[in-house]
Amino acid sequence: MLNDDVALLRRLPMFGDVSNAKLKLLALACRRNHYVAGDVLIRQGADALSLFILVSGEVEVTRERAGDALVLARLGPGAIIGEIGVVLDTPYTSSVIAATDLVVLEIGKTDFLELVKELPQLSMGLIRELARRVLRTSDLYEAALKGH
Amino acid sequence: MEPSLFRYIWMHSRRDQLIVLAIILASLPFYFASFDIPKRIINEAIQGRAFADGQQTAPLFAWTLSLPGWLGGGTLAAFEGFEAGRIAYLFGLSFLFLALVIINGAFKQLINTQKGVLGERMLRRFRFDLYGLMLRLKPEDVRAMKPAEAASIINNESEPIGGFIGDAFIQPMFLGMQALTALAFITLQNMWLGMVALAIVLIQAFIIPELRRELLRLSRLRQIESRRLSGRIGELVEIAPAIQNHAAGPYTKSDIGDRLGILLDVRVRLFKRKFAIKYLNNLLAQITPFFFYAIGGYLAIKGQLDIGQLVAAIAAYRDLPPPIKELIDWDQDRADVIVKYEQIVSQFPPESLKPPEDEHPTKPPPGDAPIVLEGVRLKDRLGQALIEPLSLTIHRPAQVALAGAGGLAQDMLARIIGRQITTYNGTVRIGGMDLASMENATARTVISYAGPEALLFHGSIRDNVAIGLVRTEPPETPPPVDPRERQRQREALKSGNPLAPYSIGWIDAGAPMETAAPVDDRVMAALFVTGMAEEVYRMGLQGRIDPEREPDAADRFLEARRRIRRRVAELKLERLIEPFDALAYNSNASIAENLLFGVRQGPKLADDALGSDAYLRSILEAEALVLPLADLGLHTAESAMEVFSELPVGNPLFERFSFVRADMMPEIKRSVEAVRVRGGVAQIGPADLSVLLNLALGYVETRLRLGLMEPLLQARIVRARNSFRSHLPQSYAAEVEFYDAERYCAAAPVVDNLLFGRIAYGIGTAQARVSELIAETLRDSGLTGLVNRLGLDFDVGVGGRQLLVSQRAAVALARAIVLRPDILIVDGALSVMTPGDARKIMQSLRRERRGRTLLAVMGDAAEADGYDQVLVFDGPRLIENRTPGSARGAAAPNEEPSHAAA
Repeated sequence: MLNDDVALLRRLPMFGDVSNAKLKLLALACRRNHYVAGDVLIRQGADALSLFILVSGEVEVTRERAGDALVLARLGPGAIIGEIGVVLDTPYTSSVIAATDLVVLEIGKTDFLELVKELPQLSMGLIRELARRVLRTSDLYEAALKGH
Repeated sequence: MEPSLFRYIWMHSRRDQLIVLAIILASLPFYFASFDIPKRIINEAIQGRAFADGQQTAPLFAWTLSLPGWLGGGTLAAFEGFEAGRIAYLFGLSFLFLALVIINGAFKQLINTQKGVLGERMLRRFRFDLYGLMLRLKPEDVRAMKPAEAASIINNESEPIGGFIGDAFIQPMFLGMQALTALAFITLQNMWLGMVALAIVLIQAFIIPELRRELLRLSRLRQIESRRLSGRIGELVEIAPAIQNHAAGPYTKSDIGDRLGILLDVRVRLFKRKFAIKYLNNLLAQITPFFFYAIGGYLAIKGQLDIGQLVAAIAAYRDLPPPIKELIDWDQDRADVIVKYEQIVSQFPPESLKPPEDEHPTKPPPGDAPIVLEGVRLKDRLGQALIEPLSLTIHRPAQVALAGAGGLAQDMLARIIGRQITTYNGTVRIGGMDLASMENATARTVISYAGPEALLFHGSIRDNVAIGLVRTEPPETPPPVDPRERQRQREALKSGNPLAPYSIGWIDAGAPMETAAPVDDRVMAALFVTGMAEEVYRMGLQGRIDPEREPDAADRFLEARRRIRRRVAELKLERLIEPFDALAYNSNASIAENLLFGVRQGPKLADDALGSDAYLRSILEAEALVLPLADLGLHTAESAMEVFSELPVGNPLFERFSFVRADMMPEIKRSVEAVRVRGGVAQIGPADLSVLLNLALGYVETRLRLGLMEPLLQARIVRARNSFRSHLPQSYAAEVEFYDAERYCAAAPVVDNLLFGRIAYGIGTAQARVSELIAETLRDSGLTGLVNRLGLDFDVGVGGRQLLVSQRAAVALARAIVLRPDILIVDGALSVMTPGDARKIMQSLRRERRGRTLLAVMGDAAEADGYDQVLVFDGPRLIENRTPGSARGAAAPNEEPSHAAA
C-alpha cells in the first residue's frame, strides 16, 4: 500500500527531511515489485535504468572480475541499490541478485532524476547519503591503513 | 520584394485588371442611359412632349441624344423606334429603365466579384511571397524575429493590403468613370449645374485628403503599436509558467495595461479625426442639392431648363457623391496600405535576405573537398572578438572536435560552418565554393547542423524527421483528373503558389542515395543512431490501428496474440500477464475499464463526461455503486490534493506523475470541501458527485496503491459490467468497444491487443520478460515494422511538447542525419541528454559518420580522444590544432595541419 511505502521511505536517512506529501509523490513514482530468490535485479555493465529500495528480503551484491564473481555485500531492508549508476549515468558496476524472496520499491532513472531536480529536499537527502558513503569509505580506508 | 505596392500589384495582376477595366468600359453606356431614361419618361411620356400637336402615337425606343444649347442644341438619332400610344410609351420607357437598373446592377455585381476574387488571389500571393521572404532571411535574422510578430505580419497586417489590392486600379477606374459619367450628364443638361457639381467635387478631392494626412500618421502608429503588443504578448505567453511561478502576473499586467493604454490613445485620436472628416464630407455632399434646387429651380422658372432635365440632373447628382466619397476613401486606403506595405517590406531588408534559390542548384562539392577557412573573424555587437582571425584547413572525411571551455569561438565556428551565421569576415570554402553564399538546395546534402535548440513542429515524429528528406523542387505530379484538384491547381497558378499539393510526393526516399529505401526505414535508422528507436517502438505499442482500413494488420496482430498465448503457456509465464477476463476484475485496469469491459471511444463516455453520463449513472444506481464509488473518489481526491497541492502550476512533476489534470484541481478541491461542509458524499450536489465519480472511475489500484479496491467492491463492479452491456442503448453502440478474445479491439492500443490483458503488477521481472516475448513475437510475425510505423505516427504536439526534452533533441538530431550529409555539425544538440545518454549517442553518431565528416563541439578537449583533428580554443583564439601526426601541445593559430586527417 502507498502509506506503507511512505512509512518505509520515512525511515530511511536519505529521505528524513522530505515532507510527507513529497514522499507520497516519490512512492507514487515507484513500483512495488516482488522478486524470487535467484532473480537478477541488476546486471553488471548494463545501463543503469532504475534505482531500488529494498523493502523486505536480502540481496547479494557481486562483482565479476576475470570470470570470478566476488560477493561484495549482502544487503537487507532499507538498502538503496543502483543509485550510483543512476546519478552518474554510468552502467551498473556490480550485479545484484535476490538472495531471498524480496519486495522492492523500484523507480526509473528519468523519474528519479526529475524528482531530484524538482524537489530540493530530495536532492539534499541524496547529497547527504552520498556524503555519508564517502565518509564510510574513507573510514574503512583509514582503518585498512592502520591495519597495515 | 518589390518596394512599390502599385508596381507589385500591376506586375502580378495586369491581365485581370485589364479584363475588369474592359467590363467597366462596357458598362458605361448602360449607366449613362439610366440617367437619360428618367428624363424622357418625365418630358416625353408624362408631360407628353413626344405627343405634341395631337399626335396619337410617337416612336418608342427612338434613341436620340439631345445636346445642350451651348453645344449647338441639336439631336443625334441612332434608332427610329416603334410607334406606340402614350400609355404604351410610358410603360415601354419605364420597363426600359427597369431593364437598365437590372443590367447596371449585374455589371456592378460582376465587377465587384471580379475585384474581390482578384484581391483574394493577390492576398494569397502576397502572404505566400512574405513567407518565402521569411525563409530567405539569414538564419541570424530569422532568430531575431519574434514568432508572434512574423505571424502578425504574414497573417494580420497583410489582410488590409489584400483587401485593397482588388481595388487598387479597378476602384478608381470604376468610380472615376461613374463620377465622370454623372458629371458629364449633369453638364449636358445644364452647364451651370455641371459647374456647381464639379466645384463641390474638386473641394472634396483636395481638402479632405489634406485633412487625412494626420489620420495616416496615426494609422501607422496604430500598426506599429499593435505589432509591438502582439510581439510582447507572444513573448509573455512563452514564459507564462515562469510568470506564474514568480507571481509576476500583476507586474506583466501593468506592462500590457500600459501598452493597451498607448494603443487606446492612438485609436481615440484616430477616431476623432476620422469622424471630423466624415462630418465635413457629408456637409459638402449635402450642400450641393441646395445649389441644384436654387439654381436649377431658377433656370426652370426662367424656362432655360425643363423639369425633366432638372429632375434628371438631381437624380444624376444623387449618384455623384457616393463614387466621389468612395474615391476619397480609396485614396485614403491607398495612402494607408502603402504605409503598411512599406512597413511590412521593411521587415525584409535586402541586406538580410539571401539571394533567391536557383531553379537548378549547382552541383555540390566532392565529398573529400577540404573545408578551407581564410581570415575568418567574428565580433559581437559590442565589437568584442568572438573569433580572432582564423585560417585553417579541415581535411575530409574526418571527425573533428571543436573544444574550448571558455568563450564562444568553438560554438561560433560550428555555426559558421553550419551556415547558421552567414555574416562574418573572411571566407569559408568547400571545394572552392563559398559556404555563406551556397544555395540551400546544394548545401543540404553537404552540411547539416544540429544545434542546441530542438525545433519541432506540430506533426508526427515521422513528419519531423522526414522533413530532412523533402525534395527541394516540387515533385512531379500527373495531370489532375479530379475537377476540384484541377480548380485548386488553376487557383494556385493564378496566385503564384506551388502546383504540387502539400499532401503527396514531397518526401524523396531516395535522396541523395542511389536507391530509394522506404521512408520509415530511413527515419528509423536515423532514430536508431540518436537512441530514439526503442522509444518509438514503445510508442508504437501504445498506438492504434483501424481494422476497417487495415484488416490485414488486425488479422496479423490477432495471430500474434495467439502466438503469445501459446508461448506464455509453454514458458509457464501466465502469472506475468493479467488477462482481460469477462468474469474477473483486472487490477491493472481502471474501474471504468472494468465496468465497461472495453474501451471508451465516444464523447458520451469521455473522461470528463463519464461521471455524469445518464446511462452509466443509471447502472451505478441500479447496482448501488454510486456512494461506494463516490467515497473512493473522495479518497483519491484527498490524495491528489495532498500530493500535488504544493506543486506550482506547470511543474513538470504534475504532468509526469499526476493522476488528475492540473486544471481539474480547483473543482476537486471544491468537491472535497462540499463533502466536508455537507457531512458526507450522500449529501453533495450532482456536479460535485460527478467530479468524485470521474476520479473513482479512473482509479487503477496498482498504480495508486491506496488500498481501496476490496474484493467485494471488485465483485460488484464485475456484476455491474454485465448490466452495463446487456442494457446498453442503441445510441451508445459507438461509444464503447467491448473486449473480445477473438477480435481485434480497434479502440485499444496494440499492446493490449497483443496481450489481451495487462502486464501483471508487482512482479519485478514481468515487464522485461513480457516485453521480450512481445518483441520476439512481433519479429517472428514480421510486425515490428508496423509497430514502428505506428510509433512514427505519434503526434509530437505543438513545438514537440508531447515529447520529453531529451526525446525532442533525439528527433531533431535524427532529422539532421537522415539525409546522410557529407558534413554533420553537432553543436550542443545533446546538451539536454544525461551525460551517459549523450556519450552513447555520440559514439553511435561517430560510428554512423565513418567515411564522412563530423564536427563536434565540446567543452573539454579531453573528451576528444580518437578524433582526427582537434581544434582547441581559448576565448576567441585558436590555441591548438592537433592531428594524429602533429605533436600534442600548443600550436600557433592559423597553422595548417601537418597532413590530411584520415
